[in-house]
Amino acid sequence: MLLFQISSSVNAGTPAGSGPDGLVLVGELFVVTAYLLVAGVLFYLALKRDDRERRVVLALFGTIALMGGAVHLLEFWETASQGNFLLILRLVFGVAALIAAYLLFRAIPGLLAIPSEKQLKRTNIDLRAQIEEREKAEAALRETQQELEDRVQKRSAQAITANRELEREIENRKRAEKQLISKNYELIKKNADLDDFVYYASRDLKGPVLNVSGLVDAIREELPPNNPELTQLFTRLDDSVSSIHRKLNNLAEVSRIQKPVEEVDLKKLSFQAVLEQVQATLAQSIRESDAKIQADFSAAPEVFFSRDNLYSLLRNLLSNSIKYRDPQRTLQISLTTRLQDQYLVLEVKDNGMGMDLSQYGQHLFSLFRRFHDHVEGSGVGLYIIKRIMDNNRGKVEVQSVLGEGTTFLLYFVNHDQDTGKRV
Amino acid sequence: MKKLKGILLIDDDDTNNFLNHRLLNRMQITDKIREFRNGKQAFDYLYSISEGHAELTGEYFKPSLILLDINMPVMDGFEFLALFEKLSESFRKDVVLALLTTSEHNQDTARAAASHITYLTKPLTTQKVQDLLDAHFKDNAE
Repeated sequence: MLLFQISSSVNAGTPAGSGPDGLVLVGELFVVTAYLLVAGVLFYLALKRDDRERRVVLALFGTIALMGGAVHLLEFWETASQGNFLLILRLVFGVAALIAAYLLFRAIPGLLAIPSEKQLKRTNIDLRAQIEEREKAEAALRETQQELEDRVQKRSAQAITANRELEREIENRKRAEKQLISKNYELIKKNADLDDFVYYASRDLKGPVLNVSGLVDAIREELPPNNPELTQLFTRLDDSVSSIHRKLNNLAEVSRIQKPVEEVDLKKLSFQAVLEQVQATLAQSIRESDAKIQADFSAAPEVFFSRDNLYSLLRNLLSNSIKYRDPQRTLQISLTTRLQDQYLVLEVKDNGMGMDLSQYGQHLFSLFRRFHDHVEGSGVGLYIIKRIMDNNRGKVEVQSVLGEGTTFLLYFVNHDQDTGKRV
Repeated sequence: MKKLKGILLIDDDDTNNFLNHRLLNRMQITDKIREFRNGKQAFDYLYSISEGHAELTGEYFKPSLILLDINMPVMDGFEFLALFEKLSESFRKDVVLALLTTSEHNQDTARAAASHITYLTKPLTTQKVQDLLDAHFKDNAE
């Protein structure tokens, strides 16, 4: 429409086909048309662009082109009519174009900041490369992660298997332990039954034996005296009866020490005091054997124990030494104590006959086992020693050389250090 | 020494009673000795005397010494002791009880000690009887 107006005004203002003036007009007309077309294109572009910076720039270019076109367009009027008005109009258009140019100038930094396509492409390539690299890295990461997960899975599978095995093992052990406990309980019960049996058997047999010995005495009193034949028979009868009686007493003692010691029976005991008691009991055999007894309990003078048991230990040890003394030399018995680790050790050493431990060692503490027949014995003493020490969480050791002597080492739990409850 | 009024022997073992009876007879410390096979028989006997059901002639006499076994059927020594304690004070005051047993069980000795009763181990001997008489019947001496 603009073009139509222009062409119509041109047609109106200038007579067609007139000399060089006409040519100038046609030229001007083309220029104006070009300007306006450029301006239109620029505005169109400005309208369509979506980034603000470029829109402004395009709009400014459009304005400049429009103003340029407008100035050229005014040429037509200039020729047709005189004009201050036109001059002012030209000035206005010029100023508008100048303002646009100035604004354009102001926009330079912004425009420079706009990356070129080349730049963008390069950036793009860079970015793509980066993305690719990242993707690669990510893939690598994923792989590593997968590997790790696999490994973790494998490990947890192993752990689970191991765990199951452990659980099975624990289950097995628990079962074994339960069996052991029940077996142990059975054994304890059987042992207790046996102890009871031994105790009641020895007690119940005692009465009849006492009766026999009483009857023997009564018969002796009723019979006429001074019959050597009868005297000999009675001597043998007395020996037999007292032998039965002694064996029964031993049995009774065995069953007595088998019974667990009550907590209240445990006391601080002086070795020296108990030894003196034992020496008083054994006074006769000590005198007869001419035994020299030396005692040094200074390193550990007292022990936390049952008096009956300590008495029994010392009596059995001393009578053992006396029984198995060497007739060729004076019997020397030395008793000493010392502290060793968690134990209080009582050492009883003699210079008696000694024995071959490799031959007898394993049976030494067995009940009713005897290794000598030249002296009276019941095979109970060492068994009693062992049982007492076992019952009190201690132990016994023997050292012996045939023909030189025997040493008994009794290990008492040292209650000065161990205040834990007894089992 | 004046003879004791009578002695009871309470033991299920006949032979033991026989031997003790013989020993006491030979020591001539009493003219009257009775044997019982268990605590119940002895207690029934003592009860009828203490209640005055029995005439104190011939077979019936009030003993001044009782020798008591511990392990007996029907009624043992300690059960007998528990019942004996329930008899009247006046009846019990001039009767001496002594346990006579083979038992060396700690529990038994402890119970005997708790009841303040003399505890003798078998066999009974003249020495043990003499010690008992010296301890309890000194004022019988003339």
